[in-house]
Amino acid sequence: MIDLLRIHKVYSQGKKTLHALRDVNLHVESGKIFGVIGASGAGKSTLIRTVNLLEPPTSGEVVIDGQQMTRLNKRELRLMRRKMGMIFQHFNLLSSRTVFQNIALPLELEKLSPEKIHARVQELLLLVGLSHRAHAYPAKLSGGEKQRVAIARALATAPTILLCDEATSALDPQTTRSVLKLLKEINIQLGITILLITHEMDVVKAICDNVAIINEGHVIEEGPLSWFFGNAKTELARDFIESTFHLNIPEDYRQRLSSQPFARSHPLVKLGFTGMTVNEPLISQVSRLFEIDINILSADIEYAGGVKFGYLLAELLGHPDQYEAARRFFIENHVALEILGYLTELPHQ
Amino acid sequence: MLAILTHAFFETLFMVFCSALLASFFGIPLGIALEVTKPNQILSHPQLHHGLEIIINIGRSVPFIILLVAIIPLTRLIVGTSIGTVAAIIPLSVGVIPLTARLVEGALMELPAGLIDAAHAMGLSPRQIIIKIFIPEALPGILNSMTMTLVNLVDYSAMAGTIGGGGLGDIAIRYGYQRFDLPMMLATIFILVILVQGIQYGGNHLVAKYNHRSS
Repeated sequence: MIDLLRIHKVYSQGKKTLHALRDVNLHVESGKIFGVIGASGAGKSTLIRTVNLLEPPTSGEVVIDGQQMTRLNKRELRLMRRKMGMIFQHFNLLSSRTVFQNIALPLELEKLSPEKIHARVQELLLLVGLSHRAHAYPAKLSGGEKQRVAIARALATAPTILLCDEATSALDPQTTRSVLKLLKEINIQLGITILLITHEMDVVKAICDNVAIINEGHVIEEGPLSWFFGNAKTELARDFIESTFHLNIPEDYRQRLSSQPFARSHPLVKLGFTGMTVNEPLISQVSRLFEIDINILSADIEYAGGVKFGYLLAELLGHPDQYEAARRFFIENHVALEILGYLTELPHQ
Repeated sequence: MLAILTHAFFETLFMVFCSALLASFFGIPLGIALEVTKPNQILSHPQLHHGLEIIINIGRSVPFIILLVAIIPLTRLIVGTSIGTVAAIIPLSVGVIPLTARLVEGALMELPAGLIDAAHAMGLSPRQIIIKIFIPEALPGILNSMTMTLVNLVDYSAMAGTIGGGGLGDIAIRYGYQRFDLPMMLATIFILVILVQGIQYGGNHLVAKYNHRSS
């Protein structure tokens, strides 16, 4: 369990002061995956680094499993840090040590016997799927493999908390997915609490139970993933949510699009499914009830955190009087409807 | 001629390697101290760092030939005499300690900053960071520094020859420069060239052996 209470962090350099964190309160429940998302410079990196006091807060309390971190002396802090693993964007492996030796490093600090170290490292290699690379040096590994080694190293001392500082930001999308999958497996298998920071909503959507958005040092919204998708109020939160959906009006449609209705035109709409939307076949209902043909151009809808969420781009083809009724029906069912413009009849009709 | 050269060669080897040992013994820890006491480093201590900077800069600004004479009292104190191969080891070591320290500092500065974060996050103490991370990670750079130190020592040992240090440099100056004995001078130069090539080759080989940074 991680509790951040009224955390402030101020950097001062000469006359300039930078308020990196302002009154941040965060509660991460045991066994959950908590994601903090923010743009670069929002303070998210400082936030995660205050948890293990790589950046001591200027004021406020960091409480880990009931232990007040800021009150520990140097030695106690080192022991406490061994109960927390951390992984980084650039992996930070030792180039002079093999995969095996990198993972063994935290165990050497625990003064374990070579046999015990060997057994534990083998176990960890198996967990991250790198048993066959045990004696390779990091320079010979791919980015994804390096992060797996870093994860194994972070888990070596069986910590209760894993901190992930932009852990997938240097990886390609496919590798990102496999590393996130591994993190989720670890979370489930070992019951480890994960706090991650990222600038990618896709990461949050893939594995997080809870989300917080940070902007200019403030946590501006926070909640369970499903709630967040449906109820985020701030514009920034919505921008992040929209960033995970990739809906573009096709070029030929864009050219035919007019902002005002005209004779024999029909609307092009964007339908937004939020966490509030009931899980019902609304499209076919509208089609039947209002005699509107719905031509779907593209759709990006996902089921995340127990709710359906996403966007759909479609032409509504029907009697002009029915459009307004259809619009009201969608809104009543918590589908956000935005008219993007009006189109003439399709050329082939 | 061969006997003179062989004898001088081993004198040079003796001076160079003894001085290199002493220079490493003092220079490597000094270089590490110089780096780790910097602001925001693991044992940040600005005053100590500043003091070390001043001492090393003084050491590096005195020309070796001057240093050789200036520390004669110290040499006498340690060795009992200021003349001879053994006595030459003292000024040679003192002369290259600041250089070694700077080179080691440079090797440590090249390490990625993220390593310190990872080390702190794993709960390593400053001592453990130095022993388990800094030294092994900077080893190729440190070996490279030692190679440069050795080559410098071969150079300096010729100057030490002028105050009775012996060795190849001494032969080159006495026979070649003072007696215009061209064959002797060319022979010493030839041996010095081979020696430096050998040191550099050996050094490069060791650096390559311990460098796992790139594929």
